[in-house]
Amino acid sequence: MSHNSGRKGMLERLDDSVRWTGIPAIAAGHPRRRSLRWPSVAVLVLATAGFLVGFGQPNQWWGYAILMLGFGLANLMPILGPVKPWGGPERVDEFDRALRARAFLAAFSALAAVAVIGLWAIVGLSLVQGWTADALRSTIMKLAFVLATIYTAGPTCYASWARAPIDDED
Amino acid sequence: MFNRIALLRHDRGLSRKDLAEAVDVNPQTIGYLERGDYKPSLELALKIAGVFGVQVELVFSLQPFPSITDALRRAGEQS
Repeated sequence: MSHNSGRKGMLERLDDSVRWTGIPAIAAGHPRRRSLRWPSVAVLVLATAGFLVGFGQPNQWWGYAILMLGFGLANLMPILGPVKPWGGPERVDEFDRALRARAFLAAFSALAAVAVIGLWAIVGLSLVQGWTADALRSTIMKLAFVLATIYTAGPTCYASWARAPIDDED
Repeated sequence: MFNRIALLRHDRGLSRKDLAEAVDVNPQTIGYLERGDYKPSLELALKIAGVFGVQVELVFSLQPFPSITDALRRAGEQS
């Protein structure tokens, strides 16, 4: 009797690892959506921290790196999070539509507030501190990435905290 | 809003998935309804009542439903 009976082979393990990523389920049009409470908070904190660290400093690379890390991870939120997109293959019922509407309303409210505060802060500080054109351009670009992060991770964050996860099983 | 979806569902031997398919929603939506986290549209409430074959006010109520024990006790007293 072989010692390997019952053990998975290399190919089966590779299949399992691919399934674990959730990518085959996404490709099949049935992504396993989950509550992303802390991950969504983490990417928003990363993006905000990166923006604040590099505020008004065009050559401050690690603040920019933190911001881009947050922005990059935020792009996974709509794929894996509880908010179903418009026009996707998934069944979107009235609960999903109501949750999506509230989530985007909250995210757009936050986005508008950050945009107004951020733009006025940039205008004010650039005048007071005499920023160079390079510093101004760099900071406005970083603010744009923060706003994009709020757009992608904000609805997921709201929806994840607004509803307690429910078990799929009966 | 209060509802008896879980009670009626168990009484009829329906899973969340069965009921969800009957009224064309996701099973999680039935879970949120049962937990009281979501108020259904009138259309969905009527569909759910239709699946159980009862009037909508027997499934949904703005007041808490009496417990089964109380309802049975009252029924026993009346008979």
